Amino acid sequence: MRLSRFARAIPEHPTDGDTWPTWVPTGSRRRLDPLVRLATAAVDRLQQQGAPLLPDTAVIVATSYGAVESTFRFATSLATYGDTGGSPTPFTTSVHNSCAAALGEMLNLRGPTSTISHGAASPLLALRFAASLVSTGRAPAALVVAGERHNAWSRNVVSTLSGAPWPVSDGLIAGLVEAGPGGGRELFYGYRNADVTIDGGALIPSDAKLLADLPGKKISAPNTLGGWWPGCGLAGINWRDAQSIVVSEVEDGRLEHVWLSGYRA
Amino acid sequence: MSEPSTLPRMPGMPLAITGMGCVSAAGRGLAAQRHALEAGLCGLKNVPLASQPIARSVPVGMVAAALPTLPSRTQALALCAAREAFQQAGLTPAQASAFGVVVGSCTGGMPESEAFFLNHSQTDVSPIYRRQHPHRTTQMLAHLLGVHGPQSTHALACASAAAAIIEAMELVRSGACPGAIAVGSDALTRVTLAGFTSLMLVDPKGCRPLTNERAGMSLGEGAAALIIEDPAHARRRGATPLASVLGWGQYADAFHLTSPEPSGNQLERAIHDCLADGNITHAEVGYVNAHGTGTRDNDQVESLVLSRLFGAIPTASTKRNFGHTMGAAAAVEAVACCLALIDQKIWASAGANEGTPVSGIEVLRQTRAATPNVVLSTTLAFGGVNACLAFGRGERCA
Repeated sequence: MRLSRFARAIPEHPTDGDTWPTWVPTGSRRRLDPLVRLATAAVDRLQQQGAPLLPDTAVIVATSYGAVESTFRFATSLATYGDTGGSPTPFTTSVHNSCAAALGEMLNLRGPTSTISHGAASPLLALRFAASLVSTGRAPAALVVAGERHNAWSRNVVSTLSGAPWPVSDGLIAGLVEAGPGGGRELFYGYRNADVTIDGGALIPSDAKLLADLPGKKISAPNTLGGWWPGCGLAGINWRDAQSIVVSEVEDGRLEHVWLSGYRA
Repeated sequence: MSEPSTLPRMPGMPLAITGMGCVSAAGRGLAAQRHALEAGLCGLKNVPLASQPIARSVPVGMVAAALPTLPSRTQALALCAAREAFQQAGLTPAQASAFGVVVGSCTGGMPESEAFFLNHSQTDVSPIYRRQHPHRTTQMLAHLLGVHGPQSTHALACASAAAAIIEAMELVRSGACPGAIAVGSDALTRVTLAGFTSLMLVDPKGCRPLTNERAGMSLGEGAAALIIEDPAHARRRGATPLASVLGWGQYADAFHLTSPEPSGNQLERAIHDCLADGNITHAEVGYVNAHGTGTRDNDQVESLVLSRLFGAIPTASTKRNFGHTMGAAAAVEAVACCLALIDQKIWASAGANEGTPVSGIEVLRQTRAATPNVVLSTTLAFGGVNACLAFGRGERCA
């Protein structure tokens, strides 16, 4: 099992979310949640790294907060107009799997799909599920999109509640999981020794200790990315680096790991 | 006919279901679900709750039973179902420790967080928002049940519990854990009820699934849990499988966020994949628990595909029994399927007598004795998700 392609989109980058890939229909753009918009930027970079994705490719999205702008708009419409005055468009796009659905529809991907919402561990668990689908022949490949796109309200909520030593940030990674020989990085869910451990940071001291106790050279992704978001550990990968990597996340005192070999062309 | 699957499908390992639990509008526990299914009871009621203004005028499937005190109603529902399943499975703490837990939930702790949001300034922040995330339910179950194996949480709209069952199956089949508890749980939320009302998809008379007179859905809440176990592990600890889960299939329409693709081709592929995964012939399928929401498009597509594949197959929907329990639905309906196999009965489709059953399939107007070898459960969800799960008798995995 390997991660054959990898890309990221971070909204602070001037082009992320400011331009639209050609495969996003013009008529849909106005309605897409900012999470989907950022996802299209990451997935477009992934698409450009190889052949078009096969129609039965699985789509697995990992997000803890989901399409938060749509959720916020719908809840605000209820607060303003009452329970029978809600606006239907943000309701439909607020559903947690709306990002996976939109990507599948725009790219015509019909394989198995799900959205993993398991806090900081969501991106790694999405890779595990994607690898399971590919290894059992359920899909020829699996597109994994993981991360968050906050609005001002959710950023304030998370910043206030997390107590994280880093600014709350957002961004998305996109990866393609495939079986068989080829380029990219070999993928294994679980812990193996590696040259470098990248972690997504930790919100509380006991989590930080769990990460600190891991052996070897360690990089804390929020330091390199300028902020924390679930998935920032994966975003910290230097894709074409020859070093093997363990990406570690702590969620509720549990360590989750994905091991990636060094990059091979 | 739909395009053939591009991948050959070898049968997967059938798995034992050694425990089940459920709480719904029908009540708490398997006996209450069995009674509602057998009698074709309607569990929908108008409720005069300040927290649910719309539910005063449209009936909903609300849980009236007492629930454990936990940070969110979704967690309380989940724990209720999970404890019943654990008790039935008879797992010792040491055995349970290695099990995984996979939860499917759409709304998580939204009832609590929406109440805070709608009654406070948008700049106010409360720890209540921590409860919103669906994975808090997974973590609560792991802590309170002493389950320390793999975890995951799926938020796949109305197919959330189907995805949880699928991942639990694959975790056990791969050997990652000897068993897993798959749970679907969702409490009724104001946002969900208002949202489906805004889409004009709620039937003010209460849903009448699989009838020509259907005019929309009815929302509900509930939770169900299945202990899914490697049959060899179950045998070693002396557990008798109640039923077995044989296979799954899932494909996406890639068509529209809220409307199913009219041909149902991807649903058909999901059913084909499920049958192949479970090593099941068409003739073995004796009953289908349809998603059967009562919306025009959903029931049209499902009945079209089921009649195309199986002819006049006995079919029922439980949505009038329990309401549409959203992320819990596929787990609640998995319990209904297993009870049908255990009791050797096929359940009436509640509401079928309120109108003319759709043509092509046999919509069951009364519960009757039957000996189905295999029962299918289909699930359709926002985002064009089509899932199918296959259940068999306990001896199938012996």
